Amino acid sequence: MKEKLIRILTEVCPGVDFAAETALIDDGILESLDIVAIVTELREAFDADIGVDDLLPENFNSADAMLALIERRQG
Amino acid sequence: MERIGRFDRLSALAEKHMRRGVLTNTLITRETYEPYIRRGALTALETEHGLFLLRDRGDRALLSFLMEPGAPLPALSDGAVCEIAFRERDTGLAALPERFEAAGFETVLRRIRLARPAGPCDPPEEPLCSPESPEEAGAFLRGHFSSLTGCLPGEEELRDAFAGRRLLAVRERDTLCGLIHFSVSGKQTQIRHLAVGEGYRGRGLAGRLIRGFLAETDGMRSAVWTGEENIPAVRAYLSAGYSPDGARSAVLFKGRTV
Repeated sequence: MKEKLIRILTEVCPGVDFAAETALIDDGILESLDIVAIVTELREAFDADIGVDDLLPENFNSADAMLALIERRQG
Repeated sequence: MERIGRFDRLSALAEKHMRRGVLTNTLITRETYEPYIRRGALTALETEHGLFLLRDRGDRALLSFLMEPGAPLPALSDGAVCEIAFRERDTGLAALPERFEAAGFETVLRRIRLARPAGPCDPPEEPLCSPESPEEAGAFLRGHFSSLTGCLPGEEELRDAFAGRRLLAVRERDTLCGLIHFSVSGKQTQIRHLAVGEGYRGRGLAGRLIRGFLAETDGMRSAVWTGEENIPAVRAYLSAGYSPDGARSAVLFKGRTV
């Protein structure tokens, strides 16, 4: 599942090493508009009910954090 | 139009439109939207192809949207102001200002973003001070920024910035002659406003404010949006180690005659 996630993230935000980065938001690599684009992809790709209240920086700081969010929100 | 009375209603509407390919100029968060909801100042217009939100700021309304590419724009009352930010790769968003203009909006300002990587900066010889009060800072900002394009902070935000020492000033003989307002998010900062009083320009105060801000924030990674034609501001930021990062924005207003 992580490979699929990283593939999706790379399509949305090319040029980012999602496998290695652990401070995507803190270091300004991802911005707020990227979060919206990522969330819409993850909702469809993983059938995850990610909502507005999940749009917190800590949920998007790394691929692992996003994976944990997906697992919490999958139907 | 629906007046939004609770954040969970806004969430439900927004989530319906968070679809693949959606174009948006906003991240829906409680921090941003609940103050407006509490005051009864948030309305929503939902169409088949998008969600349009208006935050009432008195003399104008801030327009945010989540819309499908190619979605028709709804008819909106005069007084709506909208900022659309985009990077080079955001081709859908970059095409929107022209569509908004065709729908009766006028582009009133174009901005560019400059960024500075984390790194030390020589502090100013004299440290900056705080304004005397959030009210003093607010009055100074209102005197130097347009209420239409200046993203002026409200009272609550000013009090919060004052208490958090995110308003720094230069004074001469008890007169506030320069002010910088910034925000901190994680390991990065954003300069929200920088202004130097008219009689004090050309003396390096902008540079002093920037260096003082960088010293106060330990040289954290920083960004600032400024008018693309504001040459003095751009020069001051370039001198402090900022450079354009490719992000641009257009501020559009409906209702202003040319």
